[in-house]
Amino acid sequence: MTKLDSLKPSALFFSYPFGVLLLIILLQLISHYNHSPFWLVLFSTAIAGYGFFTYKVIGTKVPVSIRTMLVIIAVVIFFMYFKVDFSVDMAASFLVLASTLKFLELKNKKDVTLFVYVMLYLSAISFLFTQSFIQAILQFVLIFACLYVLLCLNGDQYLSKYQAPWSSLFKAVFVAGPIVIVCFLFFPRIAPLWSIPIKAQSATTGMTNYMSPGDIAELAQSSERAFRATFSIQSPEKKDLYWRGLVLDYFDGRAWSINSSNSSQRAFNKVDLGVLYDHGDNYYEVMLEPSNQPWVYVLESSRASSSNVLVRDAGQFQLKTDAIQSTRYKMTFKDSESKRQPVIPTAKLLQNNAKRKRVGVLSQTYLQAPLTSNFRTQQYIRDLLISFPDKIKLTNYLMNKFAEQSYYYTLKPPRLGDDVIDEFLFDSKQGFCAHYAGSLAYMLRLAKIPARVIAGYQGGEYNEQSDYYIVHQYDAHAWVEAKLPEFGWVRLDPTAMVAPERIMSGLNVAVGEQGGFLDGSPIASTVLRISGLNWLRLRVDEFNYKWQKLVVNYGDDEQQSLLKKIFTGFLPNTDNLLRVAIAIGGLFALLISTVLLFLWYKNYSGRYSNAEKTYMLWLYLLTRLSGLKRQTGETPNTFLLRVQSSNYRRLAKVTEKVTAKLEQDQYQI
Amino acid sequence: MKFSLLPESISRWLSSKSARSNQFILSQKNIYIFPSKMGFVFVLLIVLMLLTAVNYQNSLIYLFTFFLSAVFFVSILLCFLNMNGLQVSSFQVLQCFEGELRAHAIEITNISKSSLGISLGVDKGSMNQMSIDQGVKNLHNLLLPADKRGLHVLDRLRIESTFPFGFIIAWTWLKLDSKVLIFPKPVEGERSQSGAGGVSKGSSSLLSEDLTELKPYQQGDSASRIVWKQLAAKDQLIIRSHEQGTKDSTWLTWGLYDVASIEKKLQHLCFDILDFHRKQHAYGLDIPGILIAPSKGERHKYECLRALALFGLNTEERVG
Repeated sequence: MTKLDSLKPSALFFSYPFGVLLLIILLQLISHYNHSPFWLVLFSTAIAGYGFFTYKVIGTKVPVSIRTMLVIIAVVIFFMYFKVDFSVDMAASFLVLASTLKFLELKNKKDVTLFVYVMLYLSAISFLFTQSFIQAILQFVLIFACLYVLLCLNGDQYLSKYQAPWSSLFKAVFVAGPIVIVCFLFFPRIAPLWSIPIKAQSATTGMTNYMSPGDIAELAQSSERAFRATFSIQSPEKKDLYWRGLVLDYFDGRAWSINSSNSSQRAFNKVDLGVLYDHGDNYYEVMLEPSNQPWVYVLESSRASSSNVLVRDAGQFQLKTDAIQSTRYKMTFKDSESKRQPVIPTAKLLQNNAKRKRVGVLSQTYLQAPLTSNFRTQQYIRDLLISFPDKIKLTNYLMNKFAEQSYYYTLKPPRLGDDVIDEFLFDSKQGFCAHYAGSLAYMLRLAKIPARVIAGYQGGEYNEQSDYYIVHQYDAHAWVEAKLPEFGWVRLDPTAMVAPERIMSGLNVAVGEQGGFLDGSPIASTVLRISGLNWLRLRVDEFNYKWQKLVVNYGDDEQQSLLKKIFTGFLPNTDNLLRVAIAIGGLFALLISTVLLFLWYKNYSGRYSNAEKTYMLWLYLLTRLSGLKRQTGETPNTFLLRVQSSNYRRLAKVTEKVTAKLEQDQYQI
Repeated sequence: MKFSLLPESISRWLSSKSARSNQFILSQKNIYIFPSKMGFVFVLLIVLMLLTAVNYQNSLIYLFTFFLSAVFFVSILLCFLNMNGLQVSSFQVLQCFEGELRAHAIEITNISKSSLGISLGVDKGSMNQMSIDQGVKNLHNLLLPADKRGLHVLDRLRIESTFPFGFIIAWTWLKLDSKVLIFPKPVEGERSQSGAGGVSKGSSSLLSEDLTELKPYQQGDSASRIVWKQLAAKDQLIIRSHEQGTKDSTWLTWGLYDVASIEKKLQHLCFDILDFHRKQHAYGLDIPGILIAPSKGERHKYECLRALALFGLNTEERVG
């Protein structure tokens, strides 16, 4: 470009579709709105508007001085805000900012093309943060807009005269459609190559590996979805849904947590299943919402049937990688053997995974109880042990104590002092699941009964129409597992003794009018109350769930089971890799043959006009029907005369029409 | 030209082997297709997206990547089809003067569909973009500098298109037989003394000649003056050398100007021809090997200028 050019851009430059470019930037800002700082969105919108104004309304380029100034301002604010800790979050924000600044600096076709490419990449990246259906639609619109800009650059500048660009855009998308679907279904899913955290401050949601009573009360404020679950055979009842998450086995006198000294051993005990297991028909699938944590929630007596789940000790499972996006896993129920249940309210026998030989470690871990505080409780247990030497009877007594004495279930308990358990058990007697579970486990341990606190979710919202459970954060729950002689591990839920309605109907019923439930999100609680809105909410949720299951979470496991379904018919014993190869090879053969056929047709069709084609087709038919054949050198008109003089009146009429069309086509343009 | 295995060079080399013609129809035989530079950048973008999808196990990014790659592949087809069936022809021979721009008249049509974003030119640097509507004859004047007199033939015509999305470029090199006649540059010249007054000796001798003298045809004589009856009778080309108003006609001869260079002389002659034509004077041209009897009118002017343009060129055509 010469100097003159850069000062006075060509008329061509201003015919570029800046309106569409502005639209692309704005849509991009909308799709990155959630994880971008607010100042960035505001700044970028202002820049884009200013750029559009100068290009389209004033009709000049943006002066260099203003550009430089804006770049400096942007860089300074950006690094003041983000510092230098690298994450995808920051990279995306940087790209958004840089590309909007680039918008002010477009010079020629190449610049605009690169700008569009960056926008396409930003679109792809936005899926790291949200994968909702709406987001997908938004990005699809964005692709269309981007391709439209490219069409304008490479097709014709003066689109008003030719309407063809839109049609070729749709043609491209239409032909691309089947290719996309087949690639999506059969493209082999490869394991991740490296990992960069998506968010700089990875705000985890849901459970943490440390439970103080306050945490669960906090979760009760949140109407966010934790996960959804579908059962293959019959959805269990709400009261039986104890979603085990974490086993908290260490008590420091105030709060329960995962024993850190045991964690190295825990890591060692993880079992990588690696392959997809088919454990039978009685299974359930869980769609976990992104929590940035590896915890999975499973029902008792389940086996992992997904390759993304690791098996840990104490009947725990975890994901191979943190759930940075919605993650699906499948669990299969073990065949339940009917066993004698201990006579303790709420007790449910668990199938034991714990290996017998590790009893020493077990008792050490599950009997740990600090004796430096909560002296009243210690004394209380010592007294009880005298009257109840039998462990089962003692447990039974403790459980009934919660039901009989004046314990009160509330999400707003009074603040407790240093001896948390003492004050709760004997003074305030007000609390929620974490208080009850924590104190029961402590008491059991004092009585030399191995016990642990389980943090997870209980119940869920049943969507009748589509037969699945939605488990929300407010369904968070804590209960106790104790190892009783003769029975092994048994689930005990003291909350069910205090407030049975919590287990039967859910938290909102249990808490009632006293508040504390969803106080933080008034909109969500209003929606729950108005039945019409609630109905709508459930339908939307249904749709999103389907979208997540079919598209968002289509992964390696789903691909393998699809291939299995396809190939069991004729190639039952092939390797998975071979199956993928066959599927992809077949696809490409199909594609190439379609293209060749299409090309052949197009080449043929390009050589003759429509009238000529019709004429030739008619000649062929005429020869077949009547035996009349056009001689070499015979003009269409003389041939027509010959046909007309023959006995075929009807054929002659058609021939007349076809010949007239041909004449018109050839001699009148 | 250095030979290399780049598709661009191969296409050039192949087209240099092909025959020259007045008309071409673009098909898979002469269309070359390859990803453009921006297309390679786009492939890089797709690879980057695929890496992102793999790394974060993100189905929607996979979907997005596949969509863009499918569009890339489909655009190969669309790019080819956009150019396929295009008819390029050139029959008209235009004229111009040395030092101006010569215009090659090129006609482009597509009977079966519209072709968008078609560029043509002689080298990749300077291409003109246009769109061709279905069935409409598009006449495009390809302008090139005319730096030497003579009959110029277009070396090679390049037609290219990056339609639809610019990922793919389809191009062709055609040896299109498109000609332009370039006359010498008209430059006013100093006349030598013998030729002062604008009337040469030859003219006076001509004055005494019979008005309807017949003489044998010589190269450069106007075809309009051939006596066709004579041809039929004697099988001989005879021309009529009579002219109306030969009384004040002028002979433009080689010796009229004081310059030694042939090109200069031609330029001065050219100027004078135009000058006489404008003043409605009759004039004749008498230069070595060419004798055109004095006359007037557009046709005569063209004959004279053509004679000047082609003077002394052993090959009639000059490729460039």
